[in-house]
Amino acid sequence: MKRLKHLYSIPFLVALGVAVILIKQLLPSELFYSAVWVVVIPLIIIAIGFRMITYYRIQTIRNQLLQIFQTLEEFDVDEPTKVIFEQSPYPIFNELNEYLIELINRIRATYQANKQFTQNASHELQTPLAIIKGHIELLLQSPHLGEKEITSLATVLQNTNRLSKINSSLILLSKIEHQRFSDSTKVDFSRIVDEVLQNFKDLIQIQEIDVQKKDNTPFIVEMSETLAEILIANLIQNAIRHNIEQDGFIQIEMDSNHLKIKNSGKSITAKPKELFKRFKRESEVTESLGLGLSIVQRICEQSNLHIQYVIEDQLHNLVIQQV
Amino acid sequence: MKLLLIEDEQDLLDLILRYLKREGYVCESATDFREGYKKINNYEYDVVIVDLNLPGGDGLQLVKMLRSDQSKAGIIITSARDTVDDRISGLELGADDYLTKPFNLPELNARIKAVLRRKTNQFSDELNYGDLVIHLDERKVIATGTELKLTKKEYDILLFLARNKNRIVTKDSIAEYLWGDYMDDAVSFDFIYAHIKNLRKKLANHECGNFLKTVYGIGYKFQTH
Repeated sequence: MKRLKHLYSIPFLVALGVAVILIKQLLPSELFYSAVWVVVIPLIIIAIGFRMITYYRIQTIRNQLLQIFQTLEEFDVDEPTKVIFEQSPYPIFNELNEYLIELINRIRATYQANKQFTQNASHELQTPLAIIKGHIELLLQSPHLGEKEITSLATVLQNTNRLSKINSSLILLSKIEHQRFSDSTKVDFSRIVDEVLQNFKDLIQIQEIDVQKKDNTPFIVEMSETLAEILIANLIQNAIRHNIEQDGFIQIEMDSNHLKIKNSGKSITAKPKELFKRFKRESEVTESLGLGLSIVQRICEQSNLHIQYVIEDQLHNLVIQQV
Repeated sequence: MKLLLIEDEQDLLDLILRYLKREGYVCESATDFREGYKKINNYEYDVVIVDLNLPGGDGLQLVKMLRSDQSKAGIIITSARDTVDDRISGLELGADDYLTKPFNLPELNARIKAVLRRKTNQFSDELNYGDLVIHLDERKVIATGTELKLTKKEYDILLFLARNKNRIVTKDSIAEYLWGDYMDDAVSFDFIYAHIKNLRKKLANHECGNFLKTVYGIGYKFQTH
């Protein structure tokens, strides 16, 4: 932009130089000086005037572009607020604005339709799945079933259950994405951890996992309590399920700006970062859906939390921090 | 016992009717608001199971109507709306229970029995299976004359199986009944297995071990004969 401005004045200087040389050759010297007054000075004034007008124009164009950039930067595909561009004195900008508004509306419509589809699809799947499950349960009560039939039904049932679990996880994910949990309060994670541990008490005992919790200062976050519960339940559930068979442990530490869950576990082949992706899972535990960590990540994103997953010497470390 | 089921999804309606008829209930059904309205006005029911999203009107209006008519019927709302607000508004209007769709049949069955017990005097406070007696008010289980020391979850599982006696109850149904939707199967099935193991040991110690049957790969059954 800057370089262009300089280039702009070069033709004027060249023209001016050529004019001066030509005039000096053609005219006697006394006439030459008056010619300088009559021709060159006005030329210089015109050049400066022209330059100023160009400068002013470039500035207005630049400002208009900046305004458009700013409006585009503030644009959020998920927000229903209308995008408004300021009226411009240049018709070309008004045309551009109109085009942009049309484009934005189209993007929004596509996005909404997509969102709606995912949501509807999972909701619509619920009832048929429930009906299939119900009929299998009815069939199971029939007195005429042989062992083979029961085994078959068991497989059908297991897979239907899996489908409906995947479905309800997807519904949960979409609910988080659509901010259906907007009940923000000051959540004390120390209390949430205690509650979740209480719920899993039996399983922790059965698997003989040693659980320790250190919380000198509580980790308090402004977020939805329901989401906080789902978050911690998911993480502790993982820490229990992927733990080792003997001498397993879970250590939970927190202070005012972070929460850390550290547990012994099997080594994994996938990169920890990959596990946050949907349907990505370590193949060993087949019942796992591969959606748990996606849910965890979504909740963190919605609640302005930063999550990190590191594995060191077969120890799994999950750290949650306030952004 | 006479039940009215108001549900617009025909397949689901048939399924529930079949299941409940086996339990020995007299069942009637309605598939939209008007039919439900008529039946509620003209007949008496012990339990009304009502869906909220009905063609022709909101199921909540039917709940309101039943309560303002001083009907003694127990009311169970079934709905896909699952926010706390929906639940509260349903219960405030006088429903006795609120079941989020999709639900499984043993769960509905257990809830109907619980509502019937609260509403009518025809259900006693104990479930008596000979050697094994469950006292519902005190949450106590007596096996051959001695009280069993059960944990809360063990008691819940036993009661759930007993309410669906002589039927196979799937692990999935038990998991959903105990923990709702958000628990991973892998974890909850381990839980159930461990609880059932303990429960069976305790029952076996008092010669009641035969009540609990395992149906391999599927679930469990509380058997009384």
